[in-house]
Amino acid sequence: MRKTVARTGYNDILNILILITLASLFIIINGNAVSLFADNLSTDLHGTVNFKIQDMSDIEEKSIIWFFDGHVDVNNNGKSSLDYVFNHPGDYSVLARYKAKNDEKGGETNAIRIHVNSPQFKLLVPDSTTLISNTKFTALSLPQGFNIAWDFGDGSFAKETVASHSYIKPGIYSINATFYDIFNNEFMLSRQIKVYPLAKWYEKILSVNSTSGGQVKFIDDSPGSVSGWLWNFGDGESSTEKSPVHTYKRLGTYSASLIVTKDGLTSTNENEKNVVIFNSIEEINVNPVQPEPNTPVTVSVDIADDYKDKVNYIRYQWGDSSPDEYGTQGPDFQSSHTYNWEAIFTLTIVSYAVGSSDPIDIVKIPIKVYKKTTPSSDFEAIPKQNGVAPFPVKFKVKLDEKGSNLPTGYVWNFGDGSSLSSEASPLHTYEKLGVYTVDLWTTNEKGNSNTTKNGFILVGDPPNNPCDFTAIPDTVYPGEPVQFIDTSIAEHNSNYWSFGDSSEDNSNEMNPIHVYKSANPEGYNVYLNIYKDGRIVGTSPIKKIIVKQREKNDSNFYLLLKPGWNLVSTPLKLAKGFDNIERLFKNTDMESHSVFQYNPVTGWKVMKGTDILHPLDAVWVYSNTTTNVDLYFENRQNIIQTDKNLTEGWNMIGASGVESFSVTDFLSQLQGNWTTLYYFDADKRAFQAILKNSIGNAKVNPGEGYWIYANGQGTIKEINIT
Amino acid sequence: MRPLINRYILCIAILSIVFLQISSAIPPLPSEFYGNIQIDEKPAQVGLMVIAKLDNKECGNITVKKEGIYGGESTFDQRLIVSCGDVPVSGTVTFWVNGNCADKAAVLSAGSSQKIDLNVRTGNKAPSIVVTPGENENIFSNSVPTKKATFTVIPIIVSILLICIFMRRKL
Repeated sequence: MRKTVARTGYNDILNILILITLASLFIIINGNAVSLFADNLSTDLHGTVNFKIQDMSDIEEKSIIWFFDGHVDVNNNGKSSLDYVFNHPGDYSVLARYKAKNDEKGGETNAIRIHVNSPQFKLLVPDSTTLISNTKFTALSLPQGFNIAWDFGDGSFAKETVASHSYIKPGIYSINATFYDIFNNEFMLSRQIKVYPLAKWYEKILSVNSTSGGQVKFIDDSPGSVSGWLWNFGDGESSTEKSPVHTYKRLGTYSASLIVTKDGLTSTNENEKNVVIFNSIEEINVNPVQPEPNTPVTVSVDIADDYKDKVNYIRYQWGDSSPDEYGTQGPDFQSSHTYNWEAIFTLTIVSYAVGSSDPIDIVKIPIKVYKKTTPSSDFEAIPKQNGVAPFPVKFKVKLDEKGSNLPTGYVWNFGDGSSLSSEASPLHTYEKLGVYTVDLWTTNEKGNSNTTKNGFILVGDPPNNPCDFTAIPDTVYPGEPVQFIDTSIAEHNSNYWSFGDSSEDNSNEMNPIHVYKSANPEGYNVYLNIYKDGRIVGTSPIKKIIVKQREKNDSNFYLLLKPGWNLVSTPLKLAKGFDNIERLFKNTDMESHSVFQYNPVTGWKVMKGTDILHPLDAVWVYSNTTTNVDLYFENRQNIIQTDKNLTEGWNMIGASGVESFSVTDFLSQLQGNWTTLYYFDADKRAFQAILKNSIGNAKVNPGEGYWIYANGQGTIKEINIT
Repeated sequence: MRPLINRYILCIAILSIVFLQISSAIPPLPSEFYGNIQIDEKPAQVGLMVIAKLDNKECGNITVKKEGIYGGESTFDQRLIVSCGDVPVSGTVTFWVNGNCADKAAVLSAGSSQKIDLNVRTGNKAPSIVVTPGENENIFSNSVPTKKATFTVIPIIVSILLICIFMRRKL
């Protein structure tokens, strides 16, 4: 039973479906009896599509009405076939309605969907440009029938396919390009362009000074309203001011540039250019450099080559209330003036261009007008007298407050065997450790001067500790001086030296000289404490100074001076600090007599206290009493053989070595080129002659001086010194 | 024979003296002077030059560095140094300022250092007092020899003469 009921249900459903299908087929056959065809289902804008009703046998031809997207095209009604031009892009549904010949109701064709393509547009627009530069904007593809309208975003427009435009303000602009045709089709493309600011500037030189450089005003001339500036002046300095004033410390040519910003955009244009800071006034020569009152001073103004045809006249402002003076004789100028009183005057030289009252240059120089005195030869070492090798030292002459003792000529002897210098303030580097004596000879129109500073420059070894020192020499004989040099690098302002021999002899000097009286082959322990404002800041390592026992001939040598004149010499090179005349004879009562030396060419020379007694030199010394003069010799390992040149005529020479030896051996160096040797017998107070041809066993004795008559040039060397 | 030998010896002596005399002399030590100086009874001004003359020839000068004083007595003070090379070590030194002669002159003594206070009067052309050196020794005037040197030809001449003598004696 159940099976029968189920079959009946399925059959009913199938029957209903069959009925629906048949009804639909009927409707289709009766309602759409005519078909419409198109030759293309898509076309470009302004393209043509052919539509055709396939079977016109049952249709009244005049009844045909064409519908394009629901709109009737009246121009083509009644046509069974037509070519239709689509002038707007989009999708169109096309069909035709008609009346059948045997049916009053009529019908309509099937609808055909036509797609009309939109046109393709392309633009060539740069992403960025620079202010005021002519920028090109191009429409790369412009379909037929279309025109273009450009909107540059800054209120400017153009209609060319290839348009040009310049922006006058930096910023980011939107560019709209509108394509249109006569059918009111409009298409718009948009782009963005960054318009970078443009940096422009110029400079104005405010002043130029040969010593202090030049002052220049940099003026921003950038178009548009920029909001940020970055100046590079070419000397390592910069500024963010709009129009800064910059001072160049030295004359020269500088490459300056400017970067400007606006709304986050930074200028990229090349604008670097040279700023030339040179005087039109190249040089001013004042002669004399330091004039005296009531003495004419000549001022010569040299004009730089580049300005020779520009500078027309010079104004001299003398600075002493006298009227200004004008010089009009170029290309270089000269004038003279007399200052009437002592002062430092400021001479102002102003150069002017042809037909202009604006100065090109204003140069001011001080002129010291003082009564001259003999030149100073006192000097100082900058920054200090002691250091470590290589030790660069700047030497400078000390002048009085007025500078009236300014030398005009200089001869420096740095004491290290280097060549002499004629510079006013030479910079000299001592390459080796040692104790150096510095000599300076100066001259000016008032006279000459000479200063010798013994042991002035002290050069030690590089320190191994913050507190350290060097001893020169570190091995001596009793009685020989040792120079101690503080080489500490730790900052300090006072010292304490312990020399290891006697607490009484300890020193607070910065660089003391110490003489050990007794031998100590094991060595004396020396150390240095350094202090800063009274507080100890360092202690050096302990170093040993070996004081060797003197051998037979190393014992303290002394010259025995008898009352009256004595002709003496030193047997060996004397130790530094113990070799000058003042030190040697400080205990000798000379009774207002000078110490004399003789040169056959220049004659008698009065020895100054700072003059050195060298080996082979002899001097006349007067003593009021019998006196011993102690001699301290240079450490023998440091002795270099000395020689002495003899000139034709009478020469004074000293004996060589600490032992007597034969005259023959001594003077054989002259190869017979001498005649007579005199020595002064201090006991008999008389000269004794030794003739060349009757020398016999005559000897030269240490410490004695001799007159020798040389027949020509000759040289004797120290012998018997080891 | 003896008179002949004596004649040769005499010749040798004469020749030796001739050669010795034409040679040059050891330069005598300079003399030094210092002291006070007045010009017309007033201390000499700084900058004035005091000139020393020996036989009317300038032999040294010094500039007044301190009013009324020329040279000092300390060892290394500057003094008026009178040196005339190897000219005679005797004579009288006169002192001049601006062409006017000082009242005192000094007997030259090589190696001496003398303090002589000078008074210079305008128009004075000759000294009125001559000062002799005190105890300063003059080693150049007393010593033997002080001014002599020899030529190398002298021994040759002597040798030739001796050979002649020897040969004459043989004859």
